[in-house]
Amino acid sequence: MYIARAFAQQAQLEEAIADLKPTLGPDVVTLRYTLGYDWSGEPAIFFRIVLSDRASRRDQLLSATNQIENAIMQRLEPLEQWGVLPYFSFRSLAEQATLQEEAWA
Amino acid sequence: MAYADDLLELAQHLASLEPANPRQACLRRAVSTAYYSLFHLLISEATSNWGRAELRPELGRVFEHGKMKNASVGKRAELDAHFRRIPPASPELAVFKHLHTVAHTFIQLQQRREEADYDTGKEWTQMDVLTQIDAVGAAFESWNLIREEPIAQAYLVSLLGKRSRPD
Repeated sequence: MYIARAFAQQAQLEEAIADLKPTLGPDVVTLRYTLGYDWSGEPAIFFRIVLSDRASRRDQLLSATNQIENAIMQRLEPLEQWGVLPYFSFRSLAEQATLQEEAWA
Repeated sequence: MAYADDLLELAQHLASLEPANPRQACLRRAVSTAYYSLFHLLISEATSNWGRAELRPELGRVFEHGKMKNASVGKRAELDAHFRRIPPASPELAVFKHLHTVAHTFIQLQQRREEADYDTGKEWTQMDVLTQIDAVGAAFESWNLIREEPIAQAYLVSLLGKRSRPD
């Protein structure tokens, strides 16, 4: 049975993501993730990213999220190196301050 | 393409219907509708190549979410590998980047639609929803720029999925 490297080597993944986070710039306030399976049962990594309020402005949003997704995909190579499909969710610092969800903190 | 455009417009409308305190139902329907706008855009573009217009809707029913996802994952991986070789700027590279936007957005939105429709424990925020809708809008723009390119047309065919012919 195939086990994706991300599941088999979670400590190394944690380290790789910790190394990656500072390279993403100040607009990434927090970067959290969960390993799991997507709707079709494929191994996946679900990123939850809290953005600075500056990057969350409507006129900045698409550019900021594109840049962050591309950086993660190019530097971490989730599928090629870790065997998981990456998925991304974003929320603003103001939204997280209201919701106070631990999973995003 | 009008139906896909209408769906995208509807998604934008749903997402901004209640700006101060949006209900989860509006946000969820907005994400789901945004996915279906891209889904129907690609199917409509693929079936528009079929000469008999009256049969295009029937042909469109052949497309499956899972096969479209697999084709998109494969295309995105192929393009990512190409980008990692740091190719020089060229018109071809620009086409590849637009196609990457389309394939990547399709994969993302398909998963987010599943969450929006079925994971009632998840709390959606307006920003997350707007991010998805803006991404679909960008995918539409990218597609319109490359729709006649051979690689874009080949991508449409690949969305039907691979199936080996039995001997």
